[in-house]
Amino acid sequence: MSTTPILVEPFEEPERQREAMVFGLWLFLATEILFFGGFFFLYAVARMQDPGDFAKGAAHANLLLGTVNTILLMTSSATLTIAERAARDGWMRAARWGIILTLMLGTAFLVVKGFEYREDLAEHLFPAAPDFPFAGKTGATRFWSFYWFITLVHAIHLTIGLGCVARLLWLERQGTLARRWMVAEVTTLYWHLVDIVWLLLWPLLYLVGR
Amino acid sequence: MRSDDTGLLAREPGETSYLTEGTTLRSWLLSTDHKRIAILYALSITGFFFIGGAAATMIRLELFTPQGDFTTADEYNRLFTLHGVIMVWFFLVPSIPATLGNFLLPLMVGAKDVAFPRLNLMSWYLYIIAGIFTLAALLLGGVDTGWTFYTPLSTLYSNSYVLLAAFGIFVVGFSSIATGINFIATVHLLRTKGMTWMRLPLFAWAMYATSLVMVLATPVLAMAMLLICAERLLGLPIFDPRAGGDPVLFQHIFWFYSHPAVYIMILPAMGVVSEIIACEARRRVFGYQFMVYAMLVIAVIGFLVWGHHMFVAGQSPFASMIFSFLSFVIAVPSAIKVFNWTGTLYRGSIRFSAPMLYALGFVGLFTLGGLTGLFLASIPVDVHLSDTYFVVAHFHYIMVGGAVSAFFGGLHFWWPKITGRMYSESFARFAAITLFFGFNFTFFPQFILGYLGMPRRYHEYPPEFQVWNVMSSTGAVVLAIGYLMPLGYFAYSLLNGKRASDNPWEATGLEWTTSSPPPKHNFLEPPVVLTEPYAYHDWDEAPGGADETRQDQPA
Amino acid sequence: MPGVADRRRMLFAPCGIWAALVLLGGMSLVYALVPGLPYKLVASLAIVIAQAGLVLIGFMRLGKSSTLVRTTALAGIVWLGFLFLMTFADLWTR
Repeated sequence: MSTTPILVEPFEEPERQREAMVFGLWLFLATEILFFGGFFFLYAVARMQDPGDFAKGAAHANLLLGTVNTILLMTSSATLTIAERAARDGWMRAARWGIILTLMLGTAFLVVKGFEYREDLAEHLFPAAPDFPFAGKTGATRFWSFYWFITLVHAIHLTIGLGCVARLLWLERQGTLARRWMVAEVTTLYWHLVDIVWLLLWPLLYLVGR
Repeated sequence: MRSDDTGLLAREPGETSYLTEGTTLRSWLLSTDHKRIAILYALSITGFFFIGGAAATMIRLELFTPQGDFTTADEYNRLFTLHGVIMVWFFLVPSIPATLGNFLLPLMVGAKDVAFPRLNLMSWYLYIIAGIFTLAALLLGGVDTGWTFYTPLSTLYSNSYVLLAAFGIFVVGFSSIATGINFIATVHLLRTKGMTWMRLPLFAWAMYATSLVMVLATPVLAMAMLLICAERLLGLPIFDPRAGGDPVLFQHIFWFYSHPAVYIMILPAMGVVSEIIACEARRRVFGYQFMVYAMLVIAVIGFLVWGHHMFVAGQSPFASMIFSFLSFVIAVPSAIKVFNWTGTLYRGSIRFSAPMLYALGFVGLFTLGGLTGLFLASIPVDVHLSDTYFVVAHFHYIMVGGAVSAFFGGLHFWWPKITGRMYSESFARFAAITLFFGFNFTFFPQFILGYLGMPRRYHEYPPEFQVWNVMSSTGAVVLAIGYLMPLGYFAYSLLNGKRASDNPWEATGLEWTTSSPPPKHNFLEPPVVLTEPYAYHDWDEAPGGADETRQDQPA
Repeated sequence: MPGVADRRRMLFAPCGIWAALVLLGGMSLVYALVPGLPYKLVASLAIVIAQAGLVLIGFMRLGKSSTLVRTTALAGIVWLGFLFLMTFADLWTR
């Protein structure tokens, strides 16, 4: 049984507002499917063109750190889901802790990614670097181009997501989260997209040619 | 049209409207009222239109003579790139949706505002920020790749501000997506009581179809632009042939958006034309259902024809044939619309007002542009005409002769509603006719030039092409006059125009049931729809003198 | 405030999905690392699709969403399909 939600213009009924917010967010998620889809298309072409070299380049991706990140993100999806459902039903303690855990796990992801990038750079695995080990090997070069491009784009999406989740915590501190559970619902949907994109990326970046 | 400027229906000075509620700059710049946001957009796109027009002027000046004497080749490249980038993304794509669509869609469906008013304001700010990035690229020296940013020129070899411009385009895409999401949600969820899907005015359907395209196509452009930025900024070889990259892949991703983009530009125009023709011919739209299905079919099939821009790029003949076939198929729904507009006009009582002149101009010019598209859809013909002035003429007929004419028509038609004032019909008609003649003198010779083999994007040409180029450049002067005139009489209208009544055109849509200009929340009470759209009657069955039944009146 | 039974459900249902996701991930990892197994790419993609499905239905409740929402999600995928279909029609017939 949820508390009376706060209504925003132009809505006069909570059910219609929720319908609109969820529909609007799914429309945005459809754009993200097409956005990332464009990248996956290029990845597919590159991998099919030169599978041997592609795999050789991919073998240098840090499987341990990549897997740790995958688990962190999966867990964060679970914690945020708990938080969102708790907020809707007025169980604010669980909501608060769920949000805090999600923020911690998401930040941990970025920290791990930072360490991973440092290691990659230490091994000169950046295509524009002068001592890139795969210079001349087109498949491996393209793998590493894609790796840097898509993990950066994903990290930016994740950071924006962290901002949105942090806002939920702020709302909770203000005491208005219970009445604004619809905001929590749509924020959580976005967070799950960030998770799904990473779930897709993990095998494509870390499990190639092992 | 009735001029009830002093009658009971005129807005009394002192009555509040969306224009008078809040007069500070802050109340305008932070307004979430869709009507004010529409005006913010209208002012901004007008500015960009004249910037793009200035580039066009310089192009036509250079092409007055065969030699490259006004600009260098490099400067010329930067000019046509600027012209294309500004006109496509900062004028045509937002023009009708963000101005007329924003203003009218909630009114037409009987709502207080769009579904997400704050997102609406954000879309304008994204547009402005994007505009700043792109203008910065221009002011710093410009981009020389053409609006199409083909790789590897744009990513590897161009010595111009590609990163800045591509990023600007990336940002303006979000503005587009935000508008699209807003409109789709508005049409699905905010229709007033009695407004069923099949009672929606065709302009509302056009906004809906356009929004579907905006939402599904633009993200792929975002990816294309981001990839260019990554390759330039971080040196990541993605389309670099030396690293195995295929530049044609960029073209696939780019045109996957940019072809549907032209439907983003034309579908709203078709919506405007339907509204004007029905009203000014005093007739129901012929084949309303087919008009709706045609727009939806165009929106969907529009996503499946992009390869017709790549017939000579190295695309396989098999794929080219599929794209060619589908490009022929997509002419069918467009043709259905042209036939239906004609059917609407037949036996109508036509009023040759300025909006109607623009609408009629649209029908003719769009038809010509569309038919020449069929020439280009045919692969063997395209091999000769690709990258010639035939292509340039084709798309200007549709985008300028078509979309801009419709935009001007819509601006005139809804001007009384938006501003509460009337404009001078005589000056407006004169401008419309000037525009029509100027347009044809500018662009028809370009069909001939293309057929004769003059390539596009060249600042100099062989002397035998000069006569047609001179005709084109002279026509452009007349066209420019046609574009500048509205600035004059619209300004006069704002300062001193007659006050408009609620429904000066005696039209049937819900937007005409409220005052001109409307109150902040659009309607004093939410309207209830009782009639289908375009309930115009034959003169001999006119009930009590009025030959239309508005949508909120019983049938 | 929800009752104890509801609270338990709220905590444990997402954990169940999480466990399934980790299990699937583990299977994917093992299959990729064990040498000599066939169709590794297909297997990992199939598992990813299963994981995405779990998130969509278990976390995002797509199964219980309105027809409008499910059509929207489907449209995103179908349109992406257009991109793949037509571009591969070019690339594979060159």
